[in-house]
Amino acid sequence: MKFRNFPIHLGLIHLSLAISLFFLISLGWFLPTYIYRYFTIAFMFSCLALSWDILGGYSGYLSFGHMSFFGVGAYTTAILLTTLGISPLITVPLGAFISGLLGVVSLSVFIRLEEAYFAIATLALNFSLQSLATVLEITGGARGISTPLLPFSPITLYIIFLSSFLVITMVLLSMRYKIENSRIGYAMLALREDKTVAECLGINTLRMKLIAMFISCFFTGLVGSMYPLFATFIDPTIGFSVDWSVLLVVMCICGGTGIWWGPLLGAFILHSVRELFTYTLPIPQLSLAIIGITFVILILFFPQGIGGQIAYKRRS
Amino acid sequence: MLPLFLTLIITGISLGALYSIVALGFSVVWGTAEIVNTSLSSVAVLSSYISFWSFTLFGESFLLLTPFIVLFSAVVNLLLSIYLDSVLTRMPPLYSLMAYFGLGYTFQGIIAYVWGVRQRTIIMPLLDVVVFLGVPLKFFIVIGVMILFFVAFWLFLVRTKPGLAIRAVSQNKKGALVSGINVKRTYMLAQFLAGIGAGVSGVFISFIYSFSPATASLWIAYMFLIVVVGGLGSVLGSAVAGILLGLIQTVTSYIMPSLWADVIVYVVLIGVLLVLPKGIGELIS
Amino acid sequence: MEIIKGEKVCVNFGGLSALKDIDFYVKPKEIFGIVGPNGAGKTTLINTITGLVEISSGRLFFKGKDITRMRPHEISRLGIARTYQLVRPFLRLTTLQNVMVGALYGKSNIHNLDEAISVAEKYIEFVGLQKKKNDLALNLNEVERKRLELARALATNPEVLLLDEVAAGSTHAEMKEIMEIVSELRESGLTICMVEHVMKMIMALADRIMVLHLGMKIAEGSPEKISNNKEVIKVYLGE
Repeated sequence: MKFRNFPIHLGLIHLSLAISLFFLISLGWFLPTYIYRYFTIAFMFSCLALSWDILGGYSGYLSFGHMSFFGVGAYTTAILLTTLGISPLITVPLGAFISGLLGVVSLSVFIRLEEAYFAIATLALNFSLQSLATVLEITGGARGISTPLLPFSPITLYIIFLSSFLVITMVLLSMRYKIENSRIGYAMLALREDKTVAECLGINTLRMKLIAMFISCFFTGLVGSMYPLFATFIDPTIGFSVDWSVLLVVMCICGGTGIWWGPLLGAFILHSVRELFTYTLPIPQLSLAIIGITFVILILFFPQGIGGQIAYKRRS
Repeated sequence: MLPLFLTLIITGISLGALYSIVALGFSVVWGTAEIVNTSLSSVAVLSSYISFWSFTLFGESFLLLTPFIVLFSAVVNLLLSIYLDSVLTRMPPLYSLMAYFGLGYTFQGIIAYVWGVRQRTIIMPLLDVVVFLGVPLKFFIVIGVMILFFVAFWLFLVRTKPGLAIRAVSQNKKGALVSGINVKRTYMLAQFLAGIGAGVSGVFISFIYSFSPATASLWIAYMFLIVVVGGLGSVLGSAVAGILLGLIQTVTSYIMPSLWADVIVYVVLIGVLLVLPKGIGELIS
Repeated sequence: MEIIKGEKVCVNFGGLSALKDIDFYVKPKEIFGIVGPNGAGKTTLINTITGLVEISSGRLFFKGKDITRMRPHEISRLGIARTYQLVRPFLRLTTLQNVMVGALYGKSNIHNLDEAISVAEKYIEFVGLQKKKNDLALNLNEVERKRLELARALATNPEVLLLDEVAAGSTHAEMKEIMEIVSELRESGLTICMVEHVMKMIMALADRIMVLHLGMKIAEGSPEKISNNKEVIKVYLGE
């Protein structure tokens, strides 16, 4: 607690988020739909980035195919809802749990791989699941699955999911803040710096990696399971989007991996940049190039991200 | 039945040949400089688009321009890598993987902006003439080019001084430095050669297969598969692994819907990575 | 009873035999030296004791307990700590944070952060790094990093300390300091195994020495006995 200088206080963040939520709801129905859409997607990405970083920022395993777990959750809800009529209240936690399990299984299988190979293996997993979802009947193939629209007006729908994603964001932030200030936080720092030495200092690195993986995939799957409910549609290119997988990595590196609030910042920055380019420039294809260049610049000059720069400056 | 089977084999080998040529450059750069240049597939696709563009402008005589297209690819890759590698060689290879991945994305975005995202290809009736076993001329040309490329590359590595430098640096960087080899220049040479491979491959893709910006992302996994199966920095390994990949893809696409072929390719990649976390190269050494 | 005992320890990598039929033991509170030419298998032996390298055949015991198949973190919890031939501090952490990791885990297994801080500060003072307490390990020089690693290992409260070439590249003065520290540690009750190349230091410090060559034990005994051993002399001076 004395040696981790946090320029931003957790409580302050929770307070501002709660206040913003309050305003959005009370002003609600008066603000243009676009604002709600922007924040809903922004917080969705925040949840995804924050959970990605539980694996990437703490254990040092950079997953390039994290949407695998999003898609698993999304299809769990979509399939169970449309074929068996199971209520979302069950499919959502179930989808999250299945994703978590898949994560643990995948990690146990990929664990011996070196960093670069691990990244590619996760990417390959992502592509495989995408191809699999495209060929199988049960996932609706390339056409995807349409899920019924919930009986709410568009804005109400956005508000419900915006609030949900915001709450999940707050949960993740609190979790991460507590971890970083605890004994386990030190273990994770050690794990990230040098796995072998950490192990020889008495840290059960295998258990930590598996737990990090489960939590990371659980929350990714949780968000994924919720996605079809407000998007009313899921298909392989969205559910297992490799572009989003890479985007998550960029978000976390931009905001700063291993810092409790880093991915939140990164998610908002990158999402805003993407939206800006989509709506101001009539050339959507360039957004890919923009992300690409951002990635290059980040890796070359700011590998610790914006958050890393701030935290580092504070320390010296 | 048999002729059909042979046709599949030849087209499969031809596809594999194109994979091998790009993958060889990728493998050699990784083995020499410890830089994972994931933008090579995008450079290849870029040269495909430039070829396509030349074809729309000049028709079939664009073939005369191909050496320049290849050279252009090599130079672009070289210049960018000189800049990027100056920073990246001091970081773990994963960072180079990410940086070049971003670079590849940038290429894809620019390509999509200039030429759109639709699948493209070049049709040249001359090359579609069926020569042997029901297989058009173009496939044999590719196989011929691949053989030439690999033989030339191999001879370069074993018979020339710069080639020797590449092999030395791949095996023992410090030793090479101490022996007076200019390591930085060797890296640049490796990148230049990789750019040539990407250019050659791209040119041939343009009139043999169809391509789109997305092709570049797809090929990244293939390059990795070939490196892992064939062994880092291995010329023979890249050739064999690439051909195998092309064969498996072509044959399975014929038997079952092509997307299943994709699933199999990725599953095989994951499988190989698990059994041999460092690739077949580990098995050999 | 011996604190560490190895029975016919063999380590094979692929077709290569790195260690062959090593029988050895370490007495509590003694300084045990492990010497031998390059490639003799010294660091491999340390790696097998800490659990990083799998023992192909043979057994290893710590205070009578079979640790042959144990994982490194379990072995650390039992009370075996080590330093590395090429220093491996956690570069992006401060000196204090580095040593705290040791205090929080290992055998000491402290759960309270404040307690861990005071324990860490104690060991940082012991190795003389107080001034650099809040500096990133990244910014320390080689010698300071070696001390950091020692403090971190000690913070785990071990019973056995394995030092891998701790004197490599040291000046005369630094070597004297290391010798003083090692003696002090032994006085405090620690058992120490030292892999060393610097013969002068080992001869002066060690109670017993084991000589390895090409993965096999060729001699064992007091420093005097070793220095008079014909095989050892042949191996070090060549034919």
